Amino acid sequence: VIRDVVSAVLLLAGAALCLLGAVGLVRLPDLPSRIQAATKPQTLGLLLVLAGTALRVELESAVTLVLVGLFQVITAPVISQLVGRSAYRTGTGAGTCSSSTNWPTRCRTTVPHKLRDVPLYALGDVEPEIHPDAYVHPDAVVIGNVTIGAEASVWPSAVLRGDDGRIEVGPRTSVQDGSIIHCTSREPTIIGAEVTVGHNVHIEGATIGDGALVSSGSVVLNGATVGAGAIVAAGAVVSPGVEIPPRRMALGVPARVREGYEVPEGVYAHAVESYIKRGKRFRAELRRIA
Amino acid sequence: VTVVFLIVLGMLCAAGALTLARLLRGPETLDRIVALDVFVILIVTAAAVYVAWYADGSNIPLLAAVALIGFVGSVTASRLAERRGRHG
Repeated sequence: VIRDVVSAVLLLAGAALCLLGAVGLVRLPDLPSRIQAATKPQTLGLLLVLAGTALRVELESAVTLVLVGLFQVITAPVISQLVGRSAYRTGTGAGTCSSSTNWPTRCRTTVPHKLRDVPLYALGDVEPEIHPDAYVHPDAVVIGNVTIGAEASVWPSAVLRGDDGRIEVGPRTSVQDGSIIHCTSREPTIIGAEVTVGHNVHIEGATIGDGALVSSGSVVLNGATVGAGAIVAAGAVVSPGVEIPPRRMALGVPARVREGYEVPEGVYAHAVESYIKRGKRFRAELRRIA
Repeated sequence: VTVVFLIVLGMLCAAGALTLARLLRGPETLDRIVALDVFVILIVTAAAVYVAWYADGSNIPLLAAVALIGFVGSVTASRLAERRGRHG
């Protein structure tokens, strides 16, 4: 009778664990955590049920049950390892792996899986943090302490090197082809939201306000500030520490603020929108063919 | 005793239904492989409960066979998914 009771308890506990694992399989948000639900509770559940069963059959059969249990204990890790490796190699589920703690440290927890072909580099323990909705072209280079916001885009040959300090690229901002973004230990480079950084721009240790336009070929140097909605004209050089007020235009070498001119509001909004759309299009359609 | 077995089988059926839900929903092939693997384990578990219910050990080799097929199937499927994922 005692045997029957123990057996019943084991069977009930095992079935409950199986149910728990199945609930986890449905409710957990991504593949890596689902693998956990599929292996641990299921295996323990099966072992408990087998133990409960072994108590109710003759010894000979019980030995076979032990073998079945052993087999499960050996194969479950193999399967989860294989599935996990497949997921890691193909990028499945890695896009949401920031919500999971179950990937090995090699997984770039902050890198969306669409970005797997992009040259992203960790420097020591510091990894770039790229929003899943941002677009980084595979010929751009992103290193170290770099944060890229939602719907931001980084285009071919752009380099964002966050080694000595920190680089922030705000949401909906574009960093276009050939632009070089660096920083120093004293001066982080902070680029706000909806900024347009044109082609071949160099920004080093500067702060760019929301909605500003830094035009092609210009240079913004250490400690300089470009106000919100301001324009740095093509080829201008903003000297170290210079402050361009909001909605003003800076031209020339060294850059001077154009007197009596205020940038109309939202004049570059269409450029911002077009780069957000462009990023989405590239994400969907860009294919490397050679 | 019958009540216990009915409860146990009920829980396993619920677990099977949830696993099937994941199997149908995916969204990735690998999610389905994991779900299918769990489903096979659930079948093994249910078969073990059956053996316990009738206290009859003659079906135990069946458990080993199903578990073996499940293992081989999952391994093959995940390798296939990996190859597809890399080329497609």
